[in-house]
Amino acid sequence: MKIVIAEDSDLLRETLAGALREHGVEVAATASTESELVSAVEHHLPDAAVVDIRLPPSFTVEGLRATATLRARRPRFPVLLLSQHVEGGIALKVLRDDPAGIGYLLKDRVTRVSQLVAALERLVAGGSVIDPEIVSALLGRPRRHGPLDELTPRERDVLRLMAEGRSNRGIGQELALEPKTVEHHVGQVFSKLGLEPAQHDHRRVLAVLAWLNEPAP
Amino acid sequence: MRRQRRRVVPALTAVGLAAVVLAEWVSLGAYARVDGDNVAGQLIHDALPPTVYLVAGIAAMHARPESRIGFWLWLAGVLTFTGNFGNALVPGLSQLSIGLQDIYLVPMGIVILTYPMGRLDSPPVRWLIGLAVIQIVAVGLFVTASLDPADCAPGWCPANPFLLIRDGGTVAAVNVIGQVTGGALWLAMALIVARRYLVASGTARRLLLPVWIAGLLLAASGVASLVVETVRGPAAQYAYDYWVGWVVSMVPPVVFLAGLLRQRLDRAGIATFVEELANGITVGSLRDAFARLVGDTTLVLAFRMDDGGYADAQGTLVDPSAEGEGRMVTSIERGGREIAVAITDPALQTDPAMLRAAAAAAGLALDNERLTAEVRARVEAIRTSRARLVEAADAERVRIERMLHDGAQQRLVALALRVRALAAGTDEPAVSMRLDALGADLDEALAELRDLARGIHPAVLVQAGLAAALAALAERSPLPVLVDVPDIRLPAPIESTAYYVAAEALTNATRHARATSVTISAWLDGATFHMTVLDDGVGGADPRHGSGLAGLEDRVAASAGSLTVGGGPHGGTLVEIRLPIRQPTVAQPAS
Repeated sequence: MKIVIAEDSDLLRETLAGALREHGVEVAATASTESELVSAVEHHLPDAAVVDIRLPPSFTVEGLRATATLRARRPRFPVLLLSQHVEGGIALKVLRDDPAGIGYLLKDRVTRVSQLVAALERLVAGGSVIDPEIVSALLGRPRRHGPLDELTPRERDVLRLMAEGRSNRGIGQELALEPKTVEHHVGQVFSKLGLEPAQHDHRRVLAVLAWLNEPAP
Repeated sequence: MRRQRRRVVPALTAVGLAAVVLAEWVSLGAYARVDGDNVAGQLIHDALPPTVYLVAGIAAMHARPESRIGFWLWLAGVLTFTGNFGNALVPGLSQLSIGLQDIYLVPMGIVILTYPMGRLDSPPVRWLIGLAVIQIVAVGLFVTASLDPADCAPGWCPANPFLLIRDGGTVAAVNVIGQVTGGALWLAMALIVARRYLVASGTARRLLLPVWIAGLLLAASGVASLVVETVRGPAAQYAYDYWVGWVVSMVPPVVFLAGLLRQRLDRAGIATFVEELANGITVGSLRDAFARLVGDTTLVLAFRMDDGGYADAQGTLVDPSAEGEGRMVTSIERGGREIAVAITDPALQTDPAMLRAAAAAAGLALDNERLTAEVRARVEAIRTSRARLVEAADAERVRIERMLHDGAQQRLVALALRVRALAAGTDEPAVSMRLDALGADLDEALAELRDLARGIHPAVLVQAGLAAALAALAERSPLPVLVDVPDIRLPAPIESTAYYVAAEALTNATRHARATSVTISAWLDGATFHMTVLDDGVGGADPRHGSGLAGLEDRVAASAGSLTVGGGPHGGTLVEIRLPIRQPTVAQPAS
């Protein structure tokens, strides 16, 4: 797998590049600004990019803007967005156009390089990755009695993994379940939450997140 | 000036009375010589028109001391008697009086040319009057020098010591010259009057009305006299002149006097004016009210600026000395300091007392307006400086948050990465375990650092706006929070203020109000941002007693907004803010 990294902190960028190389990932180029990232992707044609949302000069949403530029040129180009903090509202914005190949993780996650590589592989395969912290915050959000209370603990686990962007296969692996069983749980979750069931994997992450993000109570 | 008038008017009255008596006495002698038939009627017929001039003149001087028209009317009246002395059997005086009997036309001309002020300020008028004096005196003296007592019936005329010209041809030629030059002077006068009318403002045109009435009446009467002569013969013309012409000749002084008296500015208007001022008036409408009051649509109100220049309410520079060309400039003062000038039609000079009263009232209003504006400007300056402090504090929070995220946190992440790499690379299980524990500690440090940064300033507010930031706030709140906020970007100070108010209200609802749910709603109403935070708790929150909302009240005020804390419609606490938006909002792009 060939990737490009955009990260403004020299220390972190080089440490991360080194760690990924050790895990067999080809780091074709590193960038510290939005424009460097865009030209590096154009030049090296990597399989994916790891992008810090906050880049110079304003340290606000440069990474999001660069992602939009990259994906306008190469639809579904996999981008793993890293942020010092993660928010459900931003996750929805990031996923809104096309969730396929989009990842949004807390920057701390890069310290577990094998998980980072796994996330990148999911993105390259066309999946989505949403930080578990967002999902647990949304799930743990105080609500009045509602459809979530109707879910069995197992169905809740399935919902959480769907919200993190896992495919049925991924959910089955994670929970050690048969594909048929996973399909059954997914159907139950959708029916209990009142969601349209016939959703493709990468579309359903958006549907589930949007449902969870709906104004409570 | 008043004192002077008190002495002058009686003196002129006395002179006028003396002129009447003296002239009538002279005429009486002449009439007595002719025959005794209706002498009294004849005398009254003679004396009435000049007396009307005298009375009108004295009345005008009394009522309108600023105008010299009264004096010129009086002078015309006195000089009209000049001809009467032609009847005196005094050698020389008789002939001089006959020669100069038209001299009264000079003050009459002045009245017509300079009405309503009667001042000989204009050079063309001065030239014309000077030429008229020369023409009347020259022609008059020629007549004096050509009057031959031999032409009179015996005993009718006294000897003429000035008799120089006996040649009939010369007399006829000079007569023609006199008529031509006289006609030219009348024409010049008509042109000057017409020009005055054309350049005059609406007010001045209205004021010139008596001149037109008098002029048209005299001209119509002259034409009628000629018509009567052509149709009915000289005898009928004599009768016409004797009665109709006589009455018409008395109309002009009455018309001029009436015109001067009518010009008195509307005294009741000033009461309305003061009332308008008391009700609060803008600087622009002050000019209009002033113009209405004095009846001058051309009025310019120019305010004195600190640099000594003048500008009107629109801020256009005005030069009163240039503007004042043929115009009247009245200073409006407060406390001995000029604050504005009113530039008006000079016709308004006829009632300066009224203009001064209006200017004083306007000055009061202007000063009031100026003081109010000053206080308003100071309050606004304090508000903007407060707003700047709030913005500076926000900027500092953003800077600290950025330093934590982009500095410390990045280093900790890199450190944790290396610790984990070491842990993965070692073959010693004990070392690996310790390194993993170290990595976990670093994870916790990172989480704590993230919470700390969020508390200083939520990065999501800058990144994604108020709706996302409030949603994040709701996610972390221990209470169910319904967020109904449009996903639009607002100016940063508005977003920050609304966020902090919502966060504080949420904290209060959680800690003190025993609420079970909270609803945050926000909407835009024109250029005003509204936000309400409503809980279903016990209520009774007071922003002035210890709550963090007190500090936020100052912050809201710095944005020229308002914060109210009260009870909700169905109980609980309702916190409401309104913030004016000074910069345009940027709609969040759909993607």
